[in-house]
Amino acid sequence: MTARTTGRTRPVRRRLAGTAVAVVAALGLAACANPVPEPAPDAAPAVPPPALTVAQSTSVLDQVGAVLAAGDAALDPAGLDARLTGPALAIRSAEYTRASATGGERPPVTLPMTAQTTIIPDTDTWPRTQMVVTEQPDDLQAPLLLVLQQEGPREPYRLWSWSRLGPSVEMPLTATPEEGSEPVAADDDSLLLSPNEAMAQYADVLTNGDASAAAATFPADFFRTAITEARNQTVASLQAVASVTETVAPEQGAVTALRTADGGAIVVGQLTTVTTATLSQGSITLNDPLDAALSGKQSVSANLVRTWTDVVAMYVPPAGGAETVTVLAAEHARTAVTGE
Amino acid sequence: MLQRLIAAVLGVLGVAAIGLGVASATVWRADDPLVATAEPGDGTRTLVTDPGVLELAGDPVTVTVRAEGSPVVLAVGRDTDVTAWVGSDPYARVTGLSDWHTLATTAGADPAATPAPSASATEEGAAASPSPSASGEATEDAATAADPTGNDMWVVEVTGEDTATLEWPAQEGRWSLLAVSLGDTAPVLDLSWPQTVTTPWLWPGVALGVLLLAVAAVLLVRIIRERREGPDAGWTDVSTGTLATVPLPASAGSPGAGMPAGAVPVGTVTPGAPLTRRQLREAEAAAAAARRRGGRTPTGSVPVVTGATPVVTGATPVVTGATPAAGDAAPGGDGPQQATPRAAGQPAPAQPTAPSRPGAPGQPAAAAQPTAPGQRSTPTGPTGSGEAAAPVRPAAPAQPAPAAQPASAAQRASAGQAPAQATPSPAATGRPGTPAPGTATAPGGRPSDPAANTAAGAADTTGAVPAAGPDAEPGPRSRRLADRLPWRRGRAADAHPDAPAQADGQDAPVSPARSSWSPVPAPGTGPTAGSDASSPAGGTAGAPGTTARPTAPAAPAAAAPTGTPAPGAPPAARPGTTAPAPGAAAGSAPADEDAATRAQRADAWRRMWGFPDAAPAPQDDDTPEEGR
Repeated sequence: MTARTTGRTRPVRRRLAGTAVAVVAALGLAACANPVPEPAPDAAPAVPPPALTVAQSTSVLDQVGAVLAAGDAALDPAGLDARLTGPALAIRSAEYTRASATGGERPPVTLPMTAQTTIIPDTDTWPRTQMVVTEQPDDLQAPLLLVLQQEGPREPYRLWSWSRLGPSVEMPLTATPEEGSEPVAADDDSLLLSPNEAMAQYADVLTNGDASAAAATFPADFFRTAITEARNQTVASLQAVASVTETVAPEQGAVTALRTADGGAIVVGQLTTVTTATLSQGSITLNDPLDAALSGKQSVSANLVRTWTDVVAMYVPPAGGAETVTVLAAEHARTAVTGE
Repeated sequence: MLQRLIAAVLGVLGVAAIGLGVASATVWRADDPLVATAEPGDGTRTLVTDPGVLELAGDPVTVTVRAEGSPVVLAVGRDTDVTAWVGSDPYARVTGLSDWHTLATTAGADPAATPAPSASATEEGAAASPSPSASGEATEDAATAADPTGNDMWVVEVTGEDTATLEWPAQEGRWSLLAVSLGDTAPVLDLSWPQTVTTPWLWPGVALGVLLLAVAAVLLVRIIRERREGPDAGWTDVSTGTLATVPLPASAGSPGAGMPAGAVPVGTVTPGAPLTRRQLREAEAAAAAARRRGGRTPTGSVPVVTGATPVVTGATPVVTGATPAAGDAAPGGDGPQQATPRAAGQPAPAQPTAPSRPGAPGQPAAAAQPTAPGQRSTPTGPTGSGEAAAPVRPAAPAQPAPAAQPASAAQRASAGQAPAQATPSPAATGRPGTPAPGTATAPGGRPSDPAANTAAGAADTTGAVPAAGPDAEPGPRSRRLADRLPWRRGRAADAHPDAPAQADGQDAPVSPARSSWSPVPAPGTGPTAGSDASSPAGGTAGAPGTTARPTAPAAPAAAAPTGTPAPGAPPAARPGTTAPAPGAAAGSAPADEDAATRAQRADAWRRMWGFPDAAPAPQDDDTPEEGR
């Protein structure tokens, strides 16, 4: 009996041993073969990396410059929309119109596309906004603060606005382009004023001057002064025949902001200024070629409505910080004129 | 067989190891540029790689996209940008390598993509900016694939017709590749990484293989050599008692020739007494040696061997005989008695006499005398050396102790005779010169005389020995002598005692020794024989002693051996020639030992120099002696 059982178990054992050897050999050979490498990407960062590299930003500026150059050469805004949008497109178009109307006497504003400072957003969502402080242009105009915006992943960065820096204005410190700056939402409450509030209050200040409730937050600045002077001039010139009113209102949704190094933000927004002259008697000859070109009339007898597209850049300090907002740069351009 | 198997297995393993090592560096060597391809189905126009895929297997990855008849675009951007750009479009995601040459792809529909289009849509609406192109593109995308060309997000971008290639050095961050075919054909994506291909197994494998092969080769060589030269080609132990064997046969021969009957009886006597270990060892060694010799085919030793073998057998009995004698002597302490039996040896009667030991040492001696002398003297003479050798050894172990008792007995017994004889011996001892004559007489004359002398000596010796052991007067002297002549110690002790006992001369012992020794050829034996000699004296003495006298037997032997050493030369010459039993026998005993050692050396020497056989040597030794 025992003999039989052993006789049976032996082959089984042998088979087991055989399979064991085979398995070991297979494992050994498998160990010799290098395993296929697995992708080992860097971990997704907690904070998105800068949306653009400096090189990319430069490339964008170059392309914008190319488009502008083409438009400037032809004074034709038709091709501008490839790289321009928002107030920039509107203003540039008006400038072309003006340039055309004046026969080149008043050429469009020079827009240098060489970056002095680049502020890149840290974001992986859209729209994306980057700001660029340009070198001083050749005509010794003030440096410009450019805002470029990408509305979606398949959209290019377009020049959304430019604005000339005010005299003796100092730009707040911002993060380097390699680090990137945090985009600030329009309703962000970590600031003295949210971007939207800031734009609204500033518009009110522009409209009402010191009478505005927000006048304390917005001390007199170069832009307000300029606007007021221009308004006063207009009022004075039309005093005989018309009453002039001017209102400044923020453009809804046209505000963008990037965080500065101290936790504040650079807020850039679009304002619309409407100057309305209501004629009480007689008529007004539109001497300004731009007015004429924009309105398509030589004179108006009922009213004249000039619409200005304004771009204002301001520094809003962080909440708990400074109590006043500083206007950094602004642009004020007539983009539409209507009249009866 | 096992060795052969092992060698074969090792060899195979070695070859396999080398083969694997080489194969790992050739056949199985990874491709230098590792190229992996992704071929998504017909439906896809857009391929996106997961972050990390570009850096999967090497530093600069070379990306090639092919699409027959279609413009293609390659672009690299941040993974989020790429997936956002692709959005909800159908695309294939490359997730890694499925094997070394194939990229794994899955249909991609990244949730992250969804917000992008909607966002852009809302943005467009909200911004109210003129974006006619955007909508136009969107509609077009639906038809074919969107064109990523010119997007500001791409870090690298390449376009081409049919094919496009770009190189992407690894960078920090998460990067994705976008490959788009703008035509009707699906893109085929090749990723090619340069690889530093290492062959870590090559040299270890080869080294191991070579090692295994070397071991196998060594084994093989060994096997072959063994087959050619035979299993014991190597070294044979020299220490074996080959020589011992030789003397044995000689002795055997002698007994056989001289008194076969006597030898046999001795043998018969033996049964009662157990063999000592040494004897057993020697017997075995002898047998083994004989066998070995027989085993050798080459030289003409074979005949010799055959001759030897019988001799050996003969010898063995003798030895045994001797041994028993020794044994008896030792145990009984009745040197004489046993001696007698042997001496009487052959005849059964002799044995009977043995029993008498206790009572009458003298008687046995007497008994011994008659038979022993006549026979012994004669036989020993011729064979002498051979025989003696055999007995001597055995005697050696046993004797001393026993000697003590018997000595007394012997002395008493022989007292009557001994004294008379004793005197002569001392006289002999008295001077070298004198002893010579004495001895001379002994050999030449007869056993009786020499026997007497020797016997006396022997008796004394025996007595002396014991005496020395217990309290013996001679002890000190003998020791002195022994001290002086260390190699002689044993004998000296034995011999001197006699001399001192009566003559008391220091030199005296020497001389007798010489005289007795003279016949013996081998001075060399001295040392070894020394101890034995004394004892053998007891045992061997039996034989010679018999001739000499009852007690004498032991004595003469002892005397003889002691004397034997070198000094014996001159006197020895004479007696040697004539060398009757006693002297011869006595001498023979040490001679045997000498012969044994010599033979051993000789044998070793012969082997060293590659001479054919050891067997002849001993015979030679014997023959000359015999010749003498």
